[in-house]
Amino acid sequence: MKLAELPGEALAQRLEGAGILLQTGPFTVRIHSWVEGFTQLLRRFYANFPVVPEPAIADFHVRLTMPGGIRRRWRPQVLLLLDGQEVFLPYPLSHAFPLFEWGLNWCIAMQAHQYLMLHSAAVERSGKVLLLPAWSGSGKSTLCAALVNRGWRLFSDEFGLVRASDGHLIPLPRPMPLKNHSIDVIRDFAPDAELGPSFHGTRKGTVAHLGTPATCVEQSAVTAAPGWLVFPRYQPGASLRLEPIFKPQAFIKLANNSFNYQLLGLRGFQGASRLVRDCDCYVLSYSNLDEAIVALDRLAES
Amino acid sequence: MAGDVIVDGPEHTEAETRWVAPEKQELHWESWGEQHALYDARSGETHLLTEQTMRVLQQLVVRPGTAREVMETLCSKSGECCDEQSLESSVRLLRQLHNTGLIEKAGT
Repeated sequence: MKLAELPGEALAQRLEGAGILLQTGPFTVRIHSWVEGFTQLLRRFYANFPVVPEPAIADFHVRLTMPGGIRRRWRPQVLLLLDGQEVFLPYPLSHAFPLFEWGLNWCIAMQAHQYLMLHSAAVERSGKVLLLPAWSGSGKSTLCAALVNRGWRLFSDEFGLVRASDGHLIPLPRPMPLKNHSIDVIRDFAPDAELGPSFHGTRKGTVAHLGTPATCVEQSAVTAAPGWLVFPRYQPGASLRLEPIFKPQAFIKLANNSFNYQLLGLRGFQGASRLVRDCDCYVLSYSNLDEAIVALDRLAES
Repeated sequence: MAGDVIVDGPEHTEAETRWVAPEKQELHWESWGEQHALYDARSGETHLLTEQTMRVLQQLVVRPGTAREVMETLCSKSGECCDEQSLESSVRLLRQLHNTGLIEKAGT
């Protein structure tokens, strides 16, 4: 059953009661919430995601609640508990949805060490995955959102999950958070894109989420081999450059863009080596999104 | 203690230092042409090595030795002539390997 098939009242009751088990990529998340506005956004952005039948074991337990006290009246807040632990300070109540998304990212980054985890966007075309490893501020999420709007299949805008047994990438499609200027960039680039409300004044500035295409959710179990490693860098005014780089250089950049390369030890080394071996490696500098998409499309066609 | 400072000697002395490398199973390699990535399972560190440095380290894995012995073995394998410059190069590479914790002085 998809989340959208659950009547609104039933969803609210389950969120407030035993919780709802949602499947996102390879992970099962149990979500509890007493926060009204959150329920509507969860329904909107996770409408096509499968609800896991009970009983089942959850990988992560996420609980959104409102702290008590007098503050609740004049400045209501939301508190996120991850596996029962308070990891973040409370946020303004209206920021419950971005807090949930960041909390889920935190759970994955801290616990999913069965995978080599890259800080990378990942999209697929013709059975091969394009990885865009980069830390924040490089334009990775914007580029990912643009590619998905031009027919690439979304694996993730944040995590490159590499399976040790065969080096395949694991899809983890979820809403894509766009920040600040990127929101207008994507609005202009894809006027029909499903963008949610803007959350102002978050720790990352203004954030708005882009919906996950239903087809990407439906293909969440379809893994794919890596094809290209492209290290992107948005530079205002820069002309497009997509240039091959030497594999040792790519290896170092990849290890530096991993959440758990060091922690995995030899498994991390073997996973990163294999990935670099299996991929064509490039650096990309761009300022014009259309030009970047054309260049990456050509790369996939070649 | 004051004055009890050990200073490295000149290179002709360093050339006689005997070096040992980790066991073969501790070192894991990935190679791209003449560039090599090495994972040291003892430290969990990854290193990028040139072809020449990789050869020196692999020779020490086979057998501990001095810079002179390593140089002579490698020259004999490659058919190249050994000269003073080769010895200096061998000393320098061994010093770098030691600084990165990949080799140790024998008996330490």
